[in-house]
Amino acid sequence: MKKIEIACIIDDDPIYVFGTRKIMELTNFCESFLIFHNGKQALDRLRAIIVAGENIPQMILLDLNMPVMDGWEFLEEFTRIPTVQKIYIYIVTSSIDPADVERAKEFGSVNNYIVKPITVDVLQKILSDFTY
Amino acid sequence: MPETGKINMEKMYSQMATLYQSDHLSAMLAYWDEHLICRFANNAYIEWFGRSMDELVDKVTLPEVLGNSFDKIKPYVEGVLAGKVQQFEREIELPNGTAIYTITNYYPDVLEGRVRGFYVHIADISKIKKLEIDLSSSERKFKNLLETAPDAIVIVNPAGEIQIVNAQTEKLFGFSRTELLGRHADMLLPERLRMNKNEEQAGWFTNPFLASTDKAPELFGLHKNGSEFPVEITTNPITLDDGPYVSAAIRDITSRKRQEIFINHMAVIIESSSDAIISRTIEGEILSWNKGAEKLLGYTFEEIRGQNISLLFPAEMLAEEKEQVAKVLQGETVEQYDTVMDKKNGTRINISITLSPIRNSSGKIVSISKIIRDITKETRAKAQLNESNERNKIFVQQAPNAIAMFDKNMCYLAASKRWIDDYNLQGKEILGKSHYHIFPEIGDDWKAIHKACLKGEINQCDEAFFERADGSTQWITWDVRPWYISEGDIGGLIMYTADISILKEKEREKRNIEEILDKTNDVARIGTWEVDLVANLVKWSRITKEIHEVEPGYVPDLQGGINFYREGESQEKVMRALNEMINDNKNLDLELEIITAKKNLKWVRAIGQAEFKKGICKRLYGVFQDITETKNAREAVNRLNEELNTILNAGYVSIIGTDKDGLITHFNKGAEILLQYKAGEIIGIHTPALLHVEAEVVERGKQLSEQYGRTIEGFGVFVELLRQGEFESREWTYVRKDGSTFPVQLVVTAVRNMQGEIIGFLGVATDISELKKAEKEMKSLLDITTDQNERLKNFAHIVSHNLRSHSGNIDMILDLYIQDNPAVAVNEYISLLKKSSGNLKETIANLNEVVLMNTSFEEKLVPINLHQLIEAATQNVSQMAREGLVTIYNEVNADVEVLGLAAYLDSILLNFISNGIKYRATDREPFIRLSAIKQEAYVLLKIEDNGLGINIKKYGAKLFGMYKTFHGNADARGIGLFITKNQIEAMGGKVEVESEVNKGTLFKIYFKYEKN
Repeated sequence: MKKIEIACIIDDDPIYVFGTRKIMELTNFCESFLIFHNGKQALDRLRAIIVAGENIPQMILLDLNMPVMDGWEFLEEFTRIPTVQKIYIYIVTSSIDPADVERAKEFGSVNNYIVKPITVDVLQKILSDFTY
Repeated sequence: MPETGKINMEKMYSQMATLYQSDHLSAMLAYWDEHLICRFANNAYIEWFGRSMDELVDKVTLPEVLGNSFDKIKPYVEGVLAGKVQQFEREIELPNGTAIYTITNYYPDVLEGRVRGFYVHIADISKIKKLEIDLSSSERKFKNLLETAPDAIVIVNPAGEIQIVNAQTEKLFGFSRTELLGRHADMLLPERLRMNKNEEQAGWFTNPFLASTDKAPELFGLHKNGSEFPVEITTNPITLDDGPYVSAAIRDITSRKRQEIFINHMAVIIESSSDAIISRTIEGEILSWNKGAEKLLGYTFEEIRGQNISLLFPAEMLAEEKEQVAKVLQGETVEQYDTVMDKKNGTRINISITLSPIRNSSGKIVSISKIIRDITKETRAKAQLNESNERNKIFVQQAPNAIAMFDKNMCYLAASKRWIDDYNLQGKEILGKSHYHIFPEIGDDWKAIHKACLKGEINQCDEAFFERADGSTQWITWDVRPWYISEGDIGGLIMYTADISILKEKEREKRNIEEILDKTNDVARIGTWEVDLVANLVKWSRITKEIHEVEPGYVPDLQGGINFYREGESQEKVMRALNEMINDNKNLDLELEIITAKKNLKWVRAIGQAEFKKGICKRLYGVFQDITETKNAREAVNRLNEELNTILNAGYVSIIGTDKDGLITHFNKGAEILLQYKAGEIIGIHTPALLHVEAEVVERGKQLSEQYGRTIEGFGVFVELLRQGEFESREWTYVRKDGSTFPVQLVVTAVRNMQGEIIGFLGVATDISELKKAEKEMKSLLDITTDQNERLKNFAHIVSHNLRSHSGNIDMILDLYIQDNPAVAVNEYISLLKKSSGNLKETIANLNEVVLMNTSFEEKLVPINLHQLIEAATQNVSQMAREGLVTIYNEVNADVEVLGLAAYLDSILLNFISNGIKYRATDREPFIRLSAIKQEAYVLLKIEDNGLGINIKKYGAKLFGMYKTFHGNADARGIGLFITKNQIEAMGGKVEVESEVNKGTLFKIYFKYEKN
């Protein structure tokens, strides 16, 4: 049943990260996590992983509002890195600003726009994306 | 005549005043300046016009004062204003009715070659005429004296010709006057006593008659009948202006001779003589003193006897007396030497003394007799004669007319300056010369006239044409008449002539002018009128009749004429004016309304003056003009001017006019107020550049230069667009006199002439400081609003992100906690916490929606099918509807589309439908009906229910407010309608509500209509 090996969470809110991770564990969502607290940290590490040819995450839950490098900047940079395997990116944010929703659509690599908080239902729906 | 150019007023006035005050002549003096305004007038002048000093001086012009009669003197006025002295005579009538004959002089007042005005001097020569009469009276007196003299008196001229004789002469010699006058005086002497030619040339005249004594010890007169008689002749030289004369007093001494026979009776005779006869010693002691002496000198013989004769003479006369006595002592008789003596009472008398030696029997002179005659009266007569001659001369010389006085030989005795001027005799010696010698061209016809006049005829001619030897032509009027030495004794001729060439010319001019005037009147539609108050006749000219629109045969009368004037003001005015003319000799000049015979209303101008004779108004006359058109045009122009002035001077609008080159020609009141300059400081001096900020003008010049590809600067900057035929309106900054500035909206227009050429520009500027201020305030308000809006958005962001994330976290953590510890799910605290967390989440969601709502979405609206949307919404609430047993009718036509945002429309429909279900009435079968119609630019969606209803009166204003609930339903959030209303409005629509408690509610929602 487990389709996702590595789930990546990029968010500066430790409570959210804790909660999400907890729900993922409860729902047996994935086997391991990669957790970054801002875009810069995530970009650097993920680029290194991709370049090294190590195991890359199948999906990323990306927050928009972060210090150092926000979600948008991360997207700009990250989508330029060529990958062999498709990485599903979900924007998970507390912003319900329609402008943000529209902007997210501009990125082809973004699969969905999820408004916080994340719930079991939402995770289940994401999982269905990986059912082939 | 005063010299042109050197006259000044003071000098003139003092001269005139001196001259005419001393002569007691009421000369009229005035000074009119070059504009014909009176600057000075003396009382006589002012009285003549019947005006007061205040009314005349510095007020009126000569044409105004004189009215129509100005034409008569116009040529002289023009002449004097051309720098020429004018002189003319005329008879004028004084306000008191007396007519006087005057001579008027106009002297130009010339300063540096320019005529500044002229002096008027009107002399009353009636007085000179009176002088003439006085003169003839003095002449008469002289004649009387002459006639009554006891001696024959003969006055001869240097040629020995008898000029004047008296009646005694006629009586003594038996000749008539005419036989004597002009003949040589020798005719009065016997042939043997007459001088021969040589003697005559040697100086007969220096000692006439007496020279004959050389020939005979005694003188004899020759009577016409040939008889001789003894005479005593006393001669006296007289010097008159026209030369020396000798007067000879000839006394018949026949009787005295006889008395010598009766020598013994001499004393008696002496005593009874009316003459004072005294005798004295050689030393001067008085020996005898007759009654005559007593009477003449006041001393009785007793008083004077033995006294010295010197007592009777004034000290200064004694030397002369001694001289005369010395003559006598040498044997001479001193005949009638004139001297003065003092009477006893001290008065001095003129006397004539004849001194004779008295010899004793041996022939030795022992004493001297003196015959003293009182000649006071005689002296006076002589003086009077001299005076008469003097005045005669003065009169002739000073006469303003050409007058000459001739003796019987047509030799000049006197001539006036005018005579000399008129006949070009300046510098020629004419006195004593023959008229015929001076004017050889005088024909026999004239000589005949002169001859006839010398015989007593008077020859007058009003006008005659002369051609002079030098070829010039003249029109002459003359009067030739004899002058009399005494009654019936003609002394010569007086000729009076006047050169009337100018007058004739003037007459011709006058006729021409009258003709022109006639024609002008015809063209200018000027009629004339006349009221003869004596004959009670009114005359109207053809034009006057035409103006009144009466038949040519109409016979006007005074009352009828007045009746034509419009009743009320015009009629009252004209009647008052007529009274003033008749009673006060005022002039008439009025603009009045008449109603013509054809009932037309016309404006006329009536001008007139009165004619007075002896203080009584005899006649009124004047002109009459139709001025309806002028008047109407004038009124229209006045009205327009009024309006224009009102506009031009209205408040705070600056109107500045310039010529085509930018020089300011107009600067209205508004401009003065706004710019602080006075019109006088600006007009004709500055261009609008003064009022602008230079940098702005330069900047605009650059723009225009770029636009038209050539340099445009200076004034061109303001008007270039107008020259291109475009419109010019722009904001500029005006600079006040004090340097402060203010913004204006300046509209510049071109002023064009009839040919469409630009002749100037008009710049109308309004102060837009207030507008600018308001604009600035608005902008600052907008800035604040934008700023606040921005902050609101930030707030929305905070709400959406931060608050939401925190509340989300709480919710999530709570869920996880319950999942980890299923036992706490029933814990009351946890369940309350869970519920609070849920509420918080919802509140935040709602607030977020509200904040975001205010952004307008109009440009993002898309056509949405309303019917389908309602179907979907109904589907969403189907569970709820089923539970509430509510029937939902979607009656909206399937093809109705509105412009909107799907999410909003969803929310709106859900809100209204769910509300309808929530607030249903439980006691009746509830329904919700949705229908739509097109109304103007909208689609009107009606959502109707039969639910609880809302008290609109009570809650209407708050119905769509935030957090308002009206029914106390547990699940009412109080935010639905607020959001719904905002969503509707965000899509450009509106919402209305009608409701009745316990009956139902009708929402009318207007959506923008998609025109497909």
